[in-house]
Amino acid sequence: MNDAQPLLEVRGVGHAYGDPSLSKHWGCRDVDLDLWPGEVLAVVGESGSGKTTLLGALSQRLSLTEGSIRYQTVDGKVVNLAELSEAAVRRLWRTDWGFVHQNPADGLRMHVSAGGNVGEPLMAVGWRHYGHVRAAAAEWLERVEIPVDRIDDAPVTFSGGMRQRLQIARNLVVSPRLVFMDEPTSGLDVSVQARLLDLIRSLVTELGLAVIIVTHDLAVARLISHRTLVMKDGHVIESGLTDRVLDDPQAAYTQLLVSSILQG
Amino acid sequence: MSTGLDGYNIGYLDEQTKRMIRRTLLKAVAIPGFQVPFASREVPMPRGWGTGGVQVTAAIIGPDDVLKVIDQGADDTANAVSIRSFFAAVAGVRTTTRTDEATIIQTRHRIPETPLADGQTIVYQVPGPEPLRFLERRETETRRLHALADYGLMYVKLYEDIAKYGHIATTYDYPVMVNGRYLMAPSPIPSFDNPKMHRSPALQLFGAGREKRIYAVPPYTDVESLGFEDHPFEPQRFDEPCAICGSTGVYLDEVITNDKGGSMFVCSDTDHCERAAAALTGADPQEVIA
Repeated sequence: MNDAQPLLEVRGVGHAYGDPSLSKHWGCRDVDLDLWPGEVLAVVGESGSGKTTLLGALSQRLSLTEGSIRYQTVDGKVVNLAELSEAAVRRLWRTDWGFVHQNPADGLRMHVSAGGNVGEPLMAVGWRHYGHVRAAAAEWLERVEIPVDRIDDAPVTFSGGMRQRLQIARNLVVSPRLVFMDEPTSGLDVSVQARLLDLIRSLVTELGLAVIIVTHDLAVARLISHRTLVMKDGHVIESGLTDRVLDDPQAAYTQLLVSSILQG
Repeated sequence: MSTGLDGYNIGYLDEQTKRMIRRTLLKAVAIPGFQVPFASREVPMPRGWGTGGVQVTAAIIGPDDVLKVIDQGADDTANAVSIRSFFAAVAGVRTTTRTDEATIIQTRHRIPETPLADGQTIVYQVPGPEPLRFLERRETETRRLHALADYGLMYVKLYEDIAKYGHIATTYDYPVMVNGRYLMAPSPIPSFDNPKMHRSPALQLFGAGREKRIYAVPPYTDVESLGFEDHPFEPQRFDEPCAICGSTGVYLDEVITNDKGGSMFVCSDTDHCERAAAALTGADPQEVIA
């Protein structure tokens, strides 16, 4: 690991939907950012501002129309993600990255037991001992506060909060270094949100994870992120330390966004 | 030399079609366990009744071949009898019920008890060629998983079995790894037969007519049934011998004998059963069964 080098170095990244030779509908464009190991970066903005597109492009789920992403692998080498083979990207997915979807049904196998869901990434990287897989799954259920006696129940029988915590366990079980989260707390009621954020925050600190979290909720950004990126119409209009951005917004749109929140 | 039924090409299919299937077979043999798409044709039976196996057999059968067809191990069930007489008519080949006399054995759901030998070819009828299908419905995705040898998903199925039943409860179409590379569905043969595929001296061809896929295992190729280190693959076992011929270590079918819950277990391989019973009494095999 080279500490003088960011984990993720993003330059001029843009993704256009549709056939780029015909018409360009830019989901996001001209995005520059650096993400350092162990850092939590929030991407905020209104719906349709390109947050999720950016997350898709960074995690290689969407192709880059322009720009480059350089990633520092676990052995300290810096690679250009666009040049990696599909197999290499999948390897990153299995071992180095996690992706927490807004809707847990997108990130879980809803009819496979909780233990199977958490165990799948382990078996995908070559675990071939049932007892070990099961023990690791049980340990992770405990860490995300799901009763271990639910290990053989399928996520369809779980509440929304439990599903989301299960999805987090499934993503963290292979000890990734970088986790993408797309609105992990929306769709949950406020008390469950608070507990989930607490859990995410403690796991992130404990495991030293780097996280890019997309949210439209400024309170979420305030609570768990070190730095914040504000997006509008596919462009980054402001970025900086979270407290600075939220307490002393510079861009007009950020000021509007911050002032639109009811102050308690 | 007989040329088969008047007005039909030998083996029913036209020469271009047979050539296409042979090309597919060559590719399948070259990449053991890999499912090769092919332009499945209509044959005079419904899809799902062994059309894939029939097309493979039609493409490889020649005038000197001796054909045996089994359905669940039996030579005398409707499907086996009609396919056998079909090829007797359209290819003019000799047919047999004896495993050791056959050069081509077309099978549904069994591998004969008599060990296959060098030079024999076994053709499996396959309903579902994709072992990952029940876990991943998208064909694009399963193809990608095969391409990247990303088979963690298959172990999820085995994990679920153990979590639910305490052991791997898959008893047929038990997934195998071919030549250490491709995950393959062995067609719905009982897991009892899986060990017979490993390093078999016979050429093993698999035809899925409805799904339009052909795959193959060349002779003497490793075929490993999946399992966990602490829950290894275990083929089914039977405690009793066959009620007719007394064979042990063979696959048995339950036959209902009356409506008061009575049943007996007999060999599913009728050829083996007849011969074992004959050896028992020293009589002619056909008379023992009659």
